[in-house]
Amino acid sequence: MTSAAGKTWSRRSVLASIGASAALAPFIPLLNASGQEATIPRRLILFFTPHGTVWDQWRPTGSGSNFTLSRILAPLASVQKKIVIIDGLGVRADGVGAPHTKGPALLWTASPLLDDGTFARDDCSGGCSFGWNSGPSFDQVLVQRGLGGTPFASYELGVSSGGGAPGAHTIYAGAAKPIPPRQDPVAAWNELFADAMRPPAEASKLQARRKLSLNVLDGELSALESKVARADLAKVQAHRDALQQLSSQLLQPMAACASPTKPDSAQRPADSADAVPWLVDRQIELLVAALSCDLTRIASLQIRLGENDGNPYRFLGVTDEHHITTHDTSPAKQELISKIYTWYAGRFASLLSKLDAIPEGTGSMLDHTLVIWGSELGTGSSHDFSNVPFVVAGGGGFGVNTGQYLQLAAGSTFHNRLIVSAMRYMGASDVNTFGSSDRESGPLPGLGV
Amino acid sequence: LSPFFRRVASHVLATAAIASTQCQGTIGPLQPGQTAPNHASAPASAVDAAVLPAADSCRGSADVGPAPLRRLTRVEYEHSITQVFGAVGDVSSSLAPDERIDGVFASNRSSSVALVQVRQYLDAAESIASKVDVLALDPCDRSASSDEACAAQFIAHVGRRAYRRPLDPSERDRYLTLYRAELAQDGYESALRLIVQTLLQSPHLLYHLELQDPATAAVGSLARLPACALASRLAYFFWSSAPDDALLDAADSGALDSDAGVLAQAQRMLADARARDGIESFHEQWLGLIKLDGASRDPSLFPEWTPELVTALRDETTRFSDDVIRAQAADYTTLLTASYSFPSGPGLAIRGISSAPSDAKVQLDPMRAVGILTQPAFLAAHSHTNQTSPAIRGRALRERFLCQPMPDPPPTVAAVPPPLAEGLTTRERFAMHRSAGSSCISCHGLIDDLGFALEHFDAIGRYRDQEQGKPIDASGELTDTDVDGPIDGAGSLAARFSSSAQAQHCYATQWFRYAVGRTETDADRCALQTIQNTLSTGGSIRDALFAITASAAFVSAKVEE
Repeated sequence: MTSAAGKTWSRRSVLASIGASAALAPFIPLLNASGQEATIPRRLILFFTPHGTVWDQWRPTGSGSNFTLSRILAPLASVQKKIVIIDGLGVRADGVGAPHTKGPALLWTASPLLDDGTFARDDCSGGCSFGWNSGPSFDQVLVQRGLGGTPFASYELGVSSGGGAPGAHTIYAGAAKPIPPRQDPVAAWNELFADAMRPPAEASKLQARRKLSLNVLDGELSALESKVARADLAKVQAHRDALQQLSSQLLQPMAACASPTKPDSAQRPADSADAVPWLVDRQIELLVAALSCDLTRIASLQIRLGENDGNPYRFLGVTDEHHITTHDTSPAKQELISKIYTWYAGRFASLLSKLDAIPEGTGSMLDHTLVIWGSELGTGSSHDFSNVPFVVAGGGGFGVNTGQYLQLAAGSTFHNRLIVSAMRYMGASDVNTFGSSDRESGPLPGLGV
Repeated sequence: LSPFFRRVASHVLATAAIASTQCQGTIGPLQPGQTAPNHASAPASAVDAAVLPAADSCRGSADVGPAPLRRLTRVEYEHSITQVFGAVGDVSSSLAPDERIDGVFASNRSSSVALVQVRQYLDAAESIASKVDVLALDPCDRSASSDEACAAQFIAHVGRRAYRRPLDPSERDRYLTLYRAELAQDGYESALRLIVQTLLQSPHLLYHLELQDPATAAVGSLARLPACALASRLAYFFWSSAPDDALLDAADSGALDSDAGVLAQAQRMLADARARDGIESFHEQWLGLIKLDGASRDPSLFPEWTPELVTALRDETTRFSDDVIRAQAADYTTLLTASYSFPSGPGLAIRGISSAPSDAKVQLDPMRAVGILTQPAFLAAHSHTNQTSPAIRGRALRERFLCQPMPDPPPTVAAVPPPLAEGLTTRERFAMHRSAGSSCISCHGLIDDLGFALEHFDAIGRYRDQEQGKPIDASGELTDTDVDGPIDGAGSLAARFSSSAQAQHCYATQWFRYAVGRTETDADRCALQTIQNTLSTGGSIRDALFAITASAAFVSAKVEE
């Protein structure tokens, strides 16, 4: 952007100059073709919903670029030209753990759960024991390569997800390093936007106090490194590393940005099942805002969990639990869960539409953001991994062949290929394989990246 | 002390091989035959010296299970903050969920902490520190002492509570440096507040640090824990919280170096009101009541289901178990069969009574109220949103009460209850379900009958005589236990469990897992048997708790590299 004086401004400084009063206004996309840095950033969003899909309601008709959306994916009509529906992509279900347990970790890590007895079962169901996942999810590998942006190298959001066991986790920084998604939109809003809205004097005082405090903590952890048992050292080091990352995150100037309205928790329905739509919508708003303010470039949203999800969807007329209902293959029950998957598609469409509404370059933010929607398995009733429903969206501005129904020969292509494509899209151009389950190489043919 | 506990005490005290283990002292290895030093400052012990040990079956088993570094659970964090800094409201709900070992007990021992979690701790610390009355935490007469002297005292006193041990000079200096810098910026009170904010995020507060000194004990050997680490174990076991000053003083004085001293503290702590928090934390986890966090019920069937009802039901279970263990000093049989409880508020209707004095113990119909098994919170926690589940309840009974893990259904089998059907009872639907696939019998034959015994209680734990207009059939056969035989309803199931050594041992084992934050290993077998026998030979539950705190697995740890 060129100011009256002819000075070129970076996006950050433009946003910072808007100040607190503008930031209090409801979220208005401020970025447009005239407000950008020279290079449009590449971004990645991973979107999770549980328990696969109902294939005959999901699968489009037609082929290639000439296809008609089915009932479940119909909500994506307005962005049909910006999505790729992938049919025939399997997940190699390597390793220990029952299907709903290991599926969430396999999805973005393509690596099995550890067989280390953290979550031991004497009965050997799904393996005698299982642990957290054995490898990082690919988004975190991108973060470790410095491709995630600042101040948040990545940003993990969730809705009723991320419990105390592997079946509820999808994102890992490394072996046995699950990253819990943020569940509370109010806390996430505070983290993303509150600091930037403080008056400068208050902000600098807060920063000074945090710095003093973090120095003490670093000293304590440093001293502990030489005192704890060898087996415990990694935990102490990981804590120290995390605090150092936090320190650099907190101590750099936070860009002020037009934030979305602070979520009002009084609006949140008291019943946890009834609260899901409110939570999903708030998290999507925050996700879009965080990306559009360039607070992060890699993000994820995990809706519910892969482990048998007991959530009813009463607002859709589904009074029974999701997982239970998937196992009843009667047409009536499959009709019920189709409503759930259609609702998921509607939320996914809302995310895409919001991204698409923000102009960027000659297109929209969606054109520069790769969004991948996946599940922990293909079909709830059969626990099938050979075909898992994936929808890829966005990224057309950087070469993704959007607007197509990509049909793959059943059982021959695995999602490691999609992960390699996504990593290359984000700039990791040397990547050929990903995850310990990978037995082929290269990107996904036909995706364009 | 019951005669029974004297026998147990004689066993465990025989292992009392003691070195100096004061907080600031050195650590010595356990030596068979070594005797407890006589600390003049040790509180008088309730243990009669005359019953102190002769033989001990555990002696010579120089091994206990591993003690990996654990981070406080959310409940422990919440209680610790209250203990150290005063009550400041809900502080833990913003933290990521705890790891659950075997799906039962929270124990953050496996994964390392992520960036988002240290941010959560920072946010929580800033919020808590802003609410703490810092000047009241450690009053100091600033007209008589310099501000810096008061701050140094503050660091020593409040720091000791947060660290759960005295700070060494270099540790105090870090906080003094911070104090001086913030004092220059924003004054005395703000500086104290920043000390609090930092202590709230200190690894010494957030982790169960049980640092042993390899210089004074051979790597691989078994050594008694440093006294302050033992004090912490006692506090988190009995109170689910940090030690109070009295316990830290006992550790400093050497009182915890003797098993008699440990027992004296254990008795004091169990008598203290804070012990209710420990009993609550154990039973919430053992009974799976945490499943009620955010649990949903079909409002067309259960309009009574509200967050207030859930709170009332959980509170009732806590009060009941607390009363059995502490007020009654009763045994496992009482826990399983007592026909009184503490319903309140919206929970009264679930018990079928219209009113009761607040906080009152209510005598209930013994045909409808049978101890812990008929606590509505337990029954509701193991139900679906719209129906009971004999399978889920049966599995909970096998796993949680009998310590018999059941396999998950095979991947190809649908782990779902039969759908609701007009005119059919749950039992009838399950019977049809089972006959449809005979391969299901191998597991469901083991669990469903136990669940059927609780069929008089609906999905919110309310008694019923009929379902779908038909009388409830709660009969079945208990198999694969040490008390096999026909059962009919909760009463007969409770009667069998209460006479089952297997169930008694299991309850003791669950407490042991809770106490040490892990599943038992072969190395714990001897210590665990002693604890289990406490219950199965007629001891009270509190005697079993004291047996745990006297066991080698509790008071000692292997010295690691």
